[in-house]
Amino acid sequence: MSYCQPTQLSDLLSCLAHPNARILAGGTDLIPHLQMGLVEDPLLVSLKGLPELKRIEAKPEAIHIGPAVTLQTLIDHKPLREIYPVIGQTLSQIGALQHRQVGTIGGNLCLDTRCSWFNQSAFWRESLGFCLKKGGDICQVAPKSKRCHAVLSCDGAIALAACQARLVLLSRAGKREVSLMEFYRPNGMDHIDLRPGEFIYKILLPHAPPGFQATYFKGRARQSFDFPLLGLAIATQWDGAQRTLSFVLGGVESCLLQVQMQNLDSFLTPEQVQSAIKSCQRLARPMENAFYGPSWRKKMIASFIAQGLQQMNLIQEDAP
Amino acid sequence: MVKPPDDPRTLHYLNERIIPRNQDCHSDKTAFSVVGKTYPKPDAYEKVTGKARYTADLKRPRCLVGKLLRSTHAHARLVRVDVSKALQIPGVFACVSGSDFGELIGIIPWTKDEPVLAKDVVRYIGEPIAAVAATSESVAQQALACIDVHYEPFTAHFSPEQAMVPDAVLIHSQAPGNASKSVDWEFGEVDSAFARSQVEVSGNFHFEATTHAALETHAVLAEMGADGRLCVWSSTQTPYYLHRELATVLGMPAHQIRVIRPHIGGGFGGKSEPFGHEICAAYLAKQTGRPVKFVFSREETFLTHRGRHAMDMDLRIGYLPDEGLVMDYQALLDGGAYSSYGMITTYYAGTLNAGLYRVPHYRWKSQRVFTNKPPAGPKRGHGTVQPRFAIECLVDQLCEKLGRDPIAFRRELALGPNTETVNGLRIGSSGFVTCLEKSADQSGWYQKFRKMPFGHGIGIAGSWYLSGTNYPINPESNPQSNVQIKADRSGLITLFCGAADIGQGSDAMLRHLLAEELGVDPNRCKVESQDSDICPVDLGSYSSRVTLMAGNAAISAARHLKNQILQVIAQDWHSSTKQLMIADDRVFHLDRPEQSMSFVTALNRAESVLGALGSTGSYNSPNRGGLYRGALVGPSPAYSFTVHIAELEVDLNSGQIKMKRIVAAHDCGRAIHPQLVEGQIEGSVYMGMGEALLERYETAKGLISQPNLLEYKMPTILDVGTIESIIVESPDPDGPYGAKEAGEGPLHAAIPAIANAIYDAIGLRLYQTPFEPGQILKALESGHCYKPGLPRELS
Ligand SMILES: Cc1cc2nc3c(=O)[nH]c(=O)nc-3n(C[C@H](O)[C@H](O)[C@H](O)COP(=O)(O)OP(=O)(O)OC[C@H]3O[C@@H](n4cnc5c(N)ncnc54)[C@H](O)[C@@H]3O)c2cc1C
Ligand code: SF4
Repeated sequence: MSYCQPTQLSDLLSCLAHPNARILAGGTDLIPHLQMGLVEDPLLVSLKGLPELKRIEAKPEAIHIGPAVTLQTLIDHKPLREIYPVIGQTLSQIGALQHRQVGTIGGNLCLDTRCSWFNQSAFWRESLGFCLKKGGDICQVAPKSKRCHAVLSCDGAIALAACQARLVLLSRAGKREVSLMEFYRPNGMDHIDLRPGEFIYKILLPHAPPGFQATYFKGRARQSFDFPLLGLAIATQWDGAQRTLSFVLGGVESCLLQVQMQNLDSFLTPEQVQSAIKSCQRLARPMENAFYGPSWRKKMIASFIAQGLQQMNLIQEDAP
Repeated sequence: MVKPPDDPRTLHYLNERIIPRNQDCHSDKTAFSVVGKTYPKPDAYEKVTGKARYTADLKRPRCLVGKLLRSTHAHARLVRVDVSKALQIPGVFACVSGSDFGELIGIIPWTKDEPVLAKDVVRYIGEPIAAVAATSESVAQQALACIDVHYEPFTAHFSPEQAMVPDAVLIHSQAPGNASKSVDWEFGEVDSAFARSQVEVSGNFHFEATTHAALETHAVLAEMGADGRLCVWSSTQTPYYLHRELATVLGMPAHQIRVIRPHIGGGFGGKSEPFGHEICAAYLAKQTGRPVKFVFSREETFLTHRGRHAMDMDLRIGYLPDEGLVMDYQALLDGGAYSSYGMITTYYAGTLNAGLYRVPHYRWKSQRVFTNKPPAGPKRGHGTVQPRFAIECLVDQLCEKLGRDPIAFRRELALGPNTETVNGLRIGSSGFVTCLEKSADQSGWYQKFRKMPFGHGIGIAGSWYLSGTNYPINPESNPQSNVQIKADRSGLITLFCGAADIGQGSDAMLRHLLAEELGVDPNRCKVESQDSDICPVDLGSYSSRVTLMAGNAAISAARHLKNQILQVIAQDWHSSTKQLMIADDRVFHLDRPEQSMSFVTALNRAESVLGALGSTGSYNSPNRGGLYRGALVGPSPAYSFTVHIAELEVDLNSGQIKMKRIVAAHDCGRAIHPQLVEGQIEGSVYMGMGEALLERYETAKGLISQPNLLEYKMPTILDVGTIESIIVESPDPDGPYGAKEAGEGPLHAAIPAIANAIYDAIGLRLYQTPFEPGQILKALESGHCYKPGLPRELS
């Protein structure tokens, strides 16, 4: 294991060009991985030497958030809280205070996917058999599957996607921009679209569209500390006289899932609510690899959607 | 002039007892100056300032790192364990395997079946196979990787059912049918009583295995002195049993061994037996001539387990209005790979069921079975938490069938003070009825039960527990607890006792008793309990025995010392010792208010006359109990009583339980140090809640699925609601100043109280722990949930 702490962006990019380079941000995900032997012999590249990556700036076209901004800084950021309360609402449900004070938003977006067969010590995995994601040739959860079903578990990504955040990715080869939805792929072994040498340079949050409103629900066993067994963000905005609704799901696949509904009136009909629930449940593929099983997690989709729409006043009170 | 306090000769004494008093018991005092008051624990400052040193913090020059190689197979023949390559690695000082040890170890003398390191066979994933001592952690890891182990797998059994099929592969050749222990009892006339019973209820219950998660993981440090004596520091609840086991396995005279128990970061039963790693540390220290230290990771602690047995229970209860209850109970215990305390667990599980309520007819059959999983053992409430869960749930059902209020019904059924259960347990004092009343008042029971809206519920359960057992684990005639006191001319009084303070505060308890009995300020009293070289034997912190046993021994010793001092002063003052008393750090003459003397002056005077001042005291338990097979496991000098009332809300959207509060009333006889009693109640309630709602020692192919504190779900502070403890005092003739236990008994009732509250909320009976949202949500969706007490269509 080796370590470097570049102080120039160009040096950072050179370090990242190393085949074993791994960014060490807050380390709340990476360090446990190292301890469990899930990451071997890395070149740890610290972001500490680059203050520019810790900035939050409101620019005309978008709010720019540096990847090394800690979760707690974002939670406490007043202007952001006013524009996008859902972000603070979501981030404050991540881990415990100690994690939020060191964990960064970039690290959160790049959090490795999780699985009860993967997040284990080398001894544990040796005893019960390695798996596709690390060292083995089958998926222990779905033995017939060719891909890994480890779960996307970063709450932050779910909320940011609902706010239509985009990422600026940078490497020596250049800069590109992707939407958060596109950033994730349905394969737990390779779930983020980062090319060799590339890193999240910036998170761009558009200024809130008209009538924007969003909320977040987290399914978990305990009220603190736990990764999402299901994360659901619901966002709505006006497109002219029509309402658009978006449901972003995490914790039930290796990538983010999204269901969108357009051309809606002020209130949803019961059929529309049911259709939203059905579509979300159809997309979700929770597996037997987290603390509560697939059936509860799927059921919670319905429950969260119903509660969320009610909270957001999208269901008429006296609707049948 | 200093005013003497009330004349103790005018105080009334407890004398309503029918049980003959044990001469080692000191319940004859009812007015106190220290007892009943809270002082900071003697170790509090060290702990909060981070100065307290736990085993893992200890540093010795030239210390080697010890590490264990663990089995990756659940059940296999060990064809080969070759450590020769490991020994060639620079920095590796020694490497040992099963063949280096002849003796099997185990806490129960009749069931020593666990090797120090696996030899010939491995019986669970995680079982230690070899141990290495090296200059650093990384060298030790490297060495482990070089040990050549060849396994020949056998069929492994992951459930008692699998292990019990005819012709199943045997886990221990001496245990046919993989049976670890069975108990078969019948008292009264069970079948005919059922035939006469007015109402009957029954159910199949499953209690999930749970494990220990004391803050401090297992750790041990061993060193050979230049004088040839072995010193072992270990995170243990039972230093004395470790001492014995070290002598036996290492073949060393016991007097050449010194066991030190440093500060302990919690035990809960997980550290109450000698372990292979402790023996290995000593052996490797002997072999290398250098100190060797093992510190377990959280995962290793989870693999060591000794947690609560998973139990399948079939229970049938009948109600006989004039007699009480008839109970037919069967239990199947998943024991894991070794006996550990299992023999006792299998008895304990049955012992306490025929008490608390009047149960004149009682049948019990229990079977503990070996499986290829880490050994289950004693966890807080040892063996009795699971069966109490089923009983209290069925008593709730009985009440409903009979249309009785659960509090009134329990009061009517309660087995009062000075009674005996059908299986021969003799109850001295009982504050159970007071617990029922106080918890009902505080929780607003009568305004809430069956009266809250759908989804909101309140539930009650009771329990009782033992304060140590009359018969110690090792059949020996020596006392169960010993105390020595040294009184110094400086005014310092030091009490020496091997009782293991594992964080529960037994040092504080002993200091309180010493100060009370002597009539002095607790701050001039000190307790030394860590070092076997200077502390007389106490058997250890298990079975909730310390307050009662070491406490009585401490009062005896203090009383002897006081008499010595008073005799000298009485002679000087030409009066009798009966006319003198010590209080508030002074000696007073009760009939001559003008005559008094500071305690330190008196101490110096006594020393000048008598020479060195010191005294001893011991506790021997009474020989009580029935005359049937197994009758000696479980009878206790005194029993504690508990009532919990749980209030909660079922989240109708998720099926998750939101705890609002648990009101827990516990009868500890006498609260010597009330804050510590409250601490024990709160900790127990918290632990019970965890087992009710979240925790499961779930294994995949024999290996725990969640070997870390993130995935083994113990509740956080946000999950538990408020815990309100009520201390009830019913002084017991056998307790020190009447005290009984408080460390385990307040746990049991939390689980059934929560189950009964869920029933009150949504009309759903739960038979399996933990009460998971999946099963609750399913029931809610099925439309079968309703508000008990209301017609279904209204709820
Ligand atoms: C007990 C516990 C509970 C937790 N609970 C939650 C939870 O409930 N919800 C949740 O979402 N998370 C949870 N976490 C995970 C974690 O704390 C957060 O996701 C945190 O935001 C991760 O950020 P970090 O800076 O610590 O990441 P690091 O560990 O430093 O990095 C994580 C990964 O991201 C990569 N990375 C970091 N920054 C960049 C970048 N700019 N560009 C490209 N790659 C990058 C790293 O190389 C690494 O692979 C928990 C962690 C723990 C230990
Ligand atoms: S989903 Fe399958 S491949 Fe992926 S981590 Fe889990 S067991 Fe391994």
